[in-house]
Amino acid sequence: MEKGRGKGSGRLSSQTISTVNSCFTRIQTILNNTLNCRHHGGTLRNRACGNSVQEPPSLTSIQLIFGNNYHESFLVKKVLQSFYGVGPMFSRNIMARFSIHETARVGSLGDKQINNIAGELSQLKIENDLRRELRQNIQRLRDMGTYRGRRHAMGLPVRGQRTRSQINTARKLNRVERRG
Amino acid sequence: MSGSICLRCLARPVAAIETAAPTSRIATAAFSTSAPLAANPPKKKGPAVAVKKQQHTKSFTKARAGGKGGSGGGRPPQQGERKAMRKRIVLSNTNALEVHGLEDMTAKNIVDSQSAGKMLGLSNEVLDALRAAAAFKPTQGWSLFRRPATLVRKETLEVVRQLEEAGDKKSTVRQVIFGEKGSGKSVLQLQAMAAALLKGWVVIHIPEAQELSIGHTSYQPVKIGEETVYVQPHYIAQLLGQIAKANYTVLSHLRLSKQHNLPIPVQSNISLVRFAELGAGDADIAWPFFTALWSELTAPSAEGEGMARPPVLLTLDSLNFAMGNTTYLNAELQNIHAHDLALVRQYMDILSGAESLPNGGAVIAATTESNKPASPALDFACERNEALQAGKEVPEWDPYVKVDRRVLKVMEGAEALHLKGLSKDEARGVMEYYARSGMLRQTVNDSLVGEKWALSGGGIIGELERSSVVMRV
Repeated sequence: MEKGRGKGSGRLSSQTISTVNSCFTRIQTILNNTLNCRHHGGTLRNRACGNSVQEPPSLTSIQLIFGNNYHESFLVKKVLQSFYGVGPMFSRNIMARFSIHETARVGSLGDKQINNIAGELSQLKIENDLRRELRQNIQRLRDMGTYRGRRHAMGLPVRGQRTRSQINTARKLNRVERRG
Repeated sequence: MSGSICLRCLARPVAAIETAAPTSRIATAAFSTSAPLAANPPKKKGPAVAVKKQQHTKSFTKARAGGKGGSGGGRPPQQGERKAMRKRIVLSNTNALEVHGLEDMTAKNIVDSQSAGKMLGLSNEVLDALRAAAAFKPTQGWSLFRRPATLVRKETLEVVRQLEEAGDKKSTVRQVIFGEKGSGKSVLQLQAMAAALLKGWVVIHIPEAQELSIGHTSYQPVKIGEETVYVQPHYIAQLLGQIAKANYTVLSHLRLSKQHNLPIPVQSNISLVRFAELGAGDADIAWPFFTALWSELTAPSAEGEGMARPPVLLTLDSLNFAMGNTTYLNAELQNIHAHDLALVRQYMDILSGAESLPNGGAVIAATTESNKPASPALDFACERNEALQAGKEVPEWDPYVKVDRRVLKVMEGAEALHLKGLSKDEARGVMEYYARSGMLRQTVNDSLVGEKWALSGGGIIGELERSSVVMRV
């Protein structure tokens, strides 16, 4: 709010406006510049006014986390959960371990925190490793010739559901080379 | 309510500026007779109607398709804009009448028993300082009147008297204000802050303890001896900025007196306002700067230029959020107790009496009744302290409810101030002010005061304001 304190701010008093001309130019400046109206309070154009706790944006706009690029405005929680195999529990776990609050954004992380997250993620079985494990499990069932393996291969429900209608999920997902 | 344009400085909110209609467009009233007269001669009937219909449906579908920003599409609100509007503090209503003879609050009249039941305005200096300290809330009715004024009630005089005594005797007032929703807890706190500012005290205000405890600001663990406390660097940086701005006149005359272990080199006789601003500039160094500033403010007064130390007023609103677990997690995935947050701990040390203020001062906390987390220990402690002070029978803790001993311990030394409704005289004082502001268009007589007083649950000021000013039947 200190920003608009000088000339051209919203602080007008009747003494300063002596002529119509000066009044007009003043209005022009007000409309063009950031407003700081003391009567209505708060900076009118500045979004970061009021009592909200604002964290300054970092200089880098893109952060590299575990081989992927993320814009600084992304929530850390969402970024973590974007990895296959990391859900709400794991992301909560990782963030608590490195003292990252729940509304933290990627831009607010320090280098050390990013390295810590990367280190933590590298120890987890996520992404392609996890997908591979899933496929191996299905393949094993298939190789053994089990009913479950066969049902996977046929793209049909595995766990005894009826197949008269509504087997869209099974058709979509169940196959030996399952996507994940 | 105030209009969208401030008539005193012609400023208006950004949305209004950006969506203002171009001046070339001719405005037409819905039922004007002049428009058809002035219009061009009508063309052939059939096609004109058809075209009109088509245009209408087109614009309608368009509005629906892109209608993210409410009625009829338009620009969707930008990031942070809605919050800024929600948190906007409006302290003036140009449509309300100026109340003639409204005195400003001074260090003298705020302790004078003659002021009881009177409204006192806030001078511009105090207003700026209070605004910088974020003492005003958007839920309060400041936007209804020409300029901010508060009612001096019995409790105000008592609190201010205690502050005066603490300043004189260099003692510490420890107080927790509790009471019904709308009973004026935050405004009483604001009055205490205004009085402290007028006396030249340093005021440190945490406007909303919720901001500290709901996990929306960064935190990091810091080892202090055996214990781990959690520092909230960005919040503390912001608080330092608020302290510097709100106490500019006082702190600019004070200089650094001690050597501190700081992460950046600092001039040895730097003024405390500059020192606080330095800390506010960088979240990484905010906490060491805050502790250094705190040790400066709580150092005993000494001789020499800039070495005198004024009393300090610490205030905290929405105490309920600082009296229980926060949503922050520690490394063991357990919720961190609010008293393990470094800033809250600092407050609680003074509130409990573990730490005292050598130059005198006060710590005043106010509870909240809206959207509050359950804190049975706090509720109990308030009741218990009130009963102890009044010499009544002390309530017993329900053995089936888990007790938060840390909260009870902190509350042991605190005085509980139960804020109830206004007396009828006070209600009359404030209603006369409403009437003189042109916001209450009825004759203020005994029957009206009695009616509104009763309707507002026995003079709960928030309800009184609502029934007489906000709601017009």
